[in-house]
Amino acid sequence: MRWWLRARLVLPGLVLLAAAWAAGLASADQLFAFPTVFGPRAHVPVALLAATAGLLLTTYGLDRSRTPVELTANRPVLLWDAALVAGTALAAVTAGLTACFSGIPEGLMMARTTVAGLGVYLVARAVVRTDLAGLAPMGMLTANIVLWDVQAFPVAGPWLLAAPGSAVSWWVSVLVLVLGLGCLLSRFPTRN
Amino acid sequence: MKLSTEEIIYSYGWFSSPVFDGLSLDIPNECTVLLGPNGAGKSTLMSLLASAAPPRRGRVRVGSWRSDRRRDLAPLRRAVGWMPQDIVPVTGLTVREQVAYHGWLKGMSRAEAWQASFEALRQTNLVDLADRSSGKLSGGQTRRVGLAQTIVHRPSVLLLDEPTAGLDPAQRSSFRGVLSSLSVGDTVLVSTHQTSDLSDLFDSVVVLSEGRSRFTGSAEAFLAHATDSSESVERRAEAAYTAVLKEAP
Amino acid sequence: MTTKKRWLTSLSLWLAVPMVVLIVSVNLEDGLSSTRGYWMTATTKASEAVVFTGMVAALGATWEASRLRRADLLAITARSRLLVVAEALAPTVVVALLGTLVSYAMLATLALGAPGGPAWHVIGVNLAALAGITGWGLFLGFLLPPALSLTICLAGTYIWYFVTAAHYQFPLWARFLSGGFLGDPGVWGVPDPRALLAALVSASGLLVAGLCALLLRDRGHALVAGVLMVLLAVGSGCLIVRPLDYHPVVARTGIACDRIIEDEITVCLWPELEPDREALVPEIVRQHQAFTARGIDLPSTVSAAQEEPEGSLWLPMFPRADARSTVAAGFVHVLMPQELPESCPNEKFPQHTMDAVLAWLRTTAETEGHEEYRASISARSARALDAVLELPPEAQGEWYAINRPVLGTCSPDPDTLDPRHLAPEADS
Repeated sequence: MRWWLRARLVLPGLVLLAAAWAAGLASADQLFAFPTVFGPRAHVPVALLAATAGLLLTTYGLDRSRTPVELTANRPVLLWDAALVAGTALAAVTAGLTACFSGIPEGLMMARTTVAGLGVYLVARAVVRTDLAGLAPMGMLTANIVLWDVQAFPVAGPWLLAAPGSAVSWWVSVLVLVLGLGCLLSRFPTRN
Repeated sequence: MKLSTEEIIYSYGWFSSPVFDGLSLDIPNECTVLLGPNGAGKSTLMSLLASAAPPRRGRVRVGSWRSDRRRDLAPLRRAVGWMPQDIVPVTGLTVREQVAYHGWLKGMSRAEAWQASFEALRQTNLVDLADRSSGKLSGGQTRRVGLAQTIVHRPSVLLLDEPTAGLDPAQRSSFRGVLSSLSVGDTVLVSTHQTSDLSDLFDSVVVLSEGRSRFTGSAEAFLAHATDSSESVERRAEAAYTAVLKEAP
Repeated sequence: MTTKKRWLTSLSLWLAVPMVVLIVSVNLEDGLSSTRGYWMTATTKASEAVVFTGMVAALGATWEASRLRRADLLAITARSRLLVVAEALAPTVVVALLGTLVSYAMLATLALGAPGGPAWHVIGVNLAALAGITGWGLFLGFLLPPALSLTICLAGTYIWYFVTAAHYQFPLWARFLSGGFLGDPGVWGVPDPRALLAALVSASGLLVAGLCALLLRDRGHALVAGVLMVLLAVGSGCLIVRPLDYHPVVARTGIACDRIIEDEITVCLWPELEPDREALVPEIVRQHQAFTARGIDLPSTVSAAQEEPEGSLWLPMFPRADARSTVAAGFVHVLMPQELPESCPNEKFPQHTMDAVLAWLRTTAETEGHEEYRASISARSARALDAVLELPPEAQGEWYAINRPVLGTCSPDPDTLDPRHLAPEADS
């Protein structure tokens, strides 16, 4: 198990995630302006950027699972990978809820972004190349930002940019994660 | 241990044409070389035999185990050692740790895998590199690590996909020496597209082309396709290979 | 690889359309409402597209470098490594230049027909910034595993272009290192050369880092050399640009000032304002007289330049604008204090006085919307304004002279807001 943990970079991944969350929560009230296709700039919490960047080593570690020999393993490595993903998502949700109850609602947005980011990564790696799949979480955030019609919806944007407690956006994030886990466990045709 | 495929159909992706369209092949219980041009399907066949990918239809048999029976998968995988064409180092692990990790993935306990990794490194002349990072090896060393990973769990069947690819002649010769000194496996299948790899090591030959078997039989029967029997084994193998491929299916 | 294949497999091609859409969107929203008739503004606003073209250039370069690294092509090539990389980067460079061209073409419409031409030095820095970020992309692509390099590249460009401009942890000047955010200098200003120099220096460091990754065979050496270069260059850039605030503009020089107008008022105009001279000059004279009649001491030379000639009154005017509006607004601007306190403790700021003074200036100058403004201020300010307007002109000027200095302090509204003490009856 120790070797699997090292092969998946579990510890470095968690350290980076924790550091990113710490940075994100510390700058929870900070926004950065990013243009949208509709014209007016969207003001996006820096915390969301931190949440997606924090997934970097986790997705990199998961990517290292796609070696030929792991495909013929006699250990349930796919289940462990799924457990790693689910555990990370759960930890993010726990941290997000704690932050929210401590007066930082952006924590919930970060948690939602982490959940969705993991799902999008797993779905993406089933259809595109490794390096592109790693881009998926941040690419997904960028797509949300540029498609936010700030004039029509000044307070909250689509999906990841919705209000922290938006049930619909949470459901979508969880659905994407479940879809991603499905791709992982079914070994949906993967591309290297 | 006997290896065979039964009417396997396999393709990459859902919309591409099949690599194998009903291939049935019996691989003898000895040392076999799998010859074929690039794109013949050798690597694909290897990965199917290793159960790395399930065929769309049909099945793979390893001894009495079948790839389409869930309960047979674990013993089938334990019995097979597969060295793929690309050996991917697990950066962050040393050579010995990488080999042990693969043993552990095959179902060995941690202690067993650790012990066995030393033996595998000894057999592949890698003991001196045991503590080196697996990402800092030369091409030839990486290939030998790949071989060590393959044999660490003492499989009955060895599947070696282009084991000498990318090695210079001296390295190839050295690698063949390591192969011949291995005391594992009663069935060895080595794929190559270089007839120069054919040697006294091999008892039987399978020639694959365009997803079909063009020849399966003993090495002597294969070499008999060459017209000039006075030439060296290498030359005869080349001539026989060309003749077999030219023959109508 | 055929040209067609090279293009179809290039990441930058797929990013080209969203890039152009965003550039057009931003320019429509923002850029086209900038100062018209001034090539410098058209150039600086157009160069802000570097935030998009730079992202695409960096990602494209990372992608190509990552591909070359994966295939280990540079280790086996008999051709020059620079040539191999240049060929691989061709689609990325073309797409980035296309975005740049689109931005410049759109914003050139602001200045078509104006004297002079594009500010080539700003364009040069813009292109250098693109080259630099491309080098950075190469650095990441050659040295990091593919699964990490693209994500780190995207995150890095987010920080480089957007977060530095917004996050309170970053000083205001940090945004200029990327070559963007030069803003609209107005016809009286030009970009501060330090902002341009800092961007150039930073870009050079990033480009050299890319070259280190390309040319040094030992990856460890390339990493160390590249990181050192970036730190050195960006550090130097920071030192250069540290004195700047959020608006990196310095006064433009070289105004022509050789016309003496009647009533001893000299007007100095930029070439961009010359076409409007016949409308501007009478308006300037009229406003000058309106304020001097109220006892406000104004220099006899009115200049469109901030610092030339010495002792002149700077009047910010906009080319191709309505003469009356631009002159009136200009007088109001220069007669208001330029430095207001950023914040005052316990909310002690003379807001009513501020509103009243501004309303009086706008009414005197007859700026556009001065009546609407008067209707929007507080009742107290409005009463003070009405009372001031009833005073003789010189008394109005006196009231202004007493209350204007108060606006630069953190203090409650003074008693002098009420102009009754300045009424003629008050003296007797």
